[in-house]
Amino acid sequence: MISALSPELGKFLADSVSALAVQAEARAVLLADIAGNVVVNTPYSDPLTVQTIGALGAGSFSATREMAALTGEESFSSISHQGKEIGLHVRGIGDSFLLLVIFDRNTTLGLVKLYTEKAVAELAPALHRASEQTVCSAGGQDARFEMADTVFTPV
Amino acid sequence: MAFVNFDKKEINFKVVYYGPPLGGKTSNLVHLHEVMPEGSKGKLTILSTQQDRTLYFDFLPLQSEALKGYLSRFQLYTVPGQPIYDKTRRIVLTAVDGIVFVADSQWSKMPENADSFNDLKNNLRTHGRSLEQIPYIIQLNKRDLPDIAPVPYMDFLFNHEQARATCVESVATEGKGVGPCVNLICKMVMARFIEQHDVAVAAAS
Repeated sequence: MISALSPELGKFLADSVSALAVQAEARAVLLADIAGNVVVNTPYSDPLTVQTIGALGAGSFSATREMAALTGEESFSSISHQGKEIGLHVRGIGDSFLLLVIFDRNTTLGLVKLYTEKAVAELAPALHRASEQTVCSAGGQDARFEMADTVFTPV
Repeated sequence: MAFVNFDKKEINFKVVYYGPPLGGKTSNLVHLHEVMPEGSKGKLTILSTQQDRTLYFDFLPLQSEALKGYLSRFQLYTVPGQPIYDKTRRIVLTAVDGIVFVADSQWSKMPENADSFNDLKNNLRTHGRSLEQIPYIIQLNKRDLPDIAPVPYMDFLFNHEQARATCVESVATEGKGVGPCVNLICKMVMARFIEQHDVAVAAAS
């Protein structure tokens, strides 16, 4: 998993998911970690909804990983959901990341899978580099964090 | 594990509400979703059975500008309390930054409280972590019911780790203690993040 993302690496990841969204003609692409953090995403709904999608996607993918282990399989690399109008394809990247591709009738699952595989090959080395970054090395050396007295008001 | 995006100036933290079945974990999130102002909360997602028992997890994203210059996002999760969902509890604890252990104050629930607390420690161990490493609070819920254990007894029951945890009394269905609890755990999580960051900066320079 990533603890910090530098602006440079963040831009590379963002450009990669944007390219995937264009090539696959998808509505949105989210790159998340297995803890449910959305690392980067193409524009889609409001940020809090995007967070929820990331959390649910990570939870769903983790559950299928456990099922794979119980059935004697090493892992299931992807899961796909198809609704009437919207489809969702989730592809794991290594042990710690996943790509969630939201698409509609304007494209096909086959096309989404094809370009997702290509994106995974490009993203995997960058995500490995990102995993080795610390808060300091990612740009936090000079960052100073000051905390307010109260987090949420009124509550 | 907190996640910092220096490009967007955002920091994500994960807080898990853990505890025995029907102890009040979901009630905490329901109340928070009701009272938090728009703009600082997302949709409350409840994955439950037809009997309203948490099946996988509940999820509520909150955000705050409590760290100057950064948008702090707090992902609040609950876990299913029933024993058969042990594996899903383990999954939800992945990369957790803070824990609220919601204990049921009723005398009859003490064995379940103790089992759940041990279960928490065991599940953290499967992630290579321990309770001592993670900011946590003990929420003594259902303080409005008649047959409840006194606070000192519950403090004795749960607070025998190396570091003593703060106990917060609550009646989650009425919202009592819920707000102070979330404020406290989020502050503890952020304080731990700042402390770890400052240590790392000092070591690097």
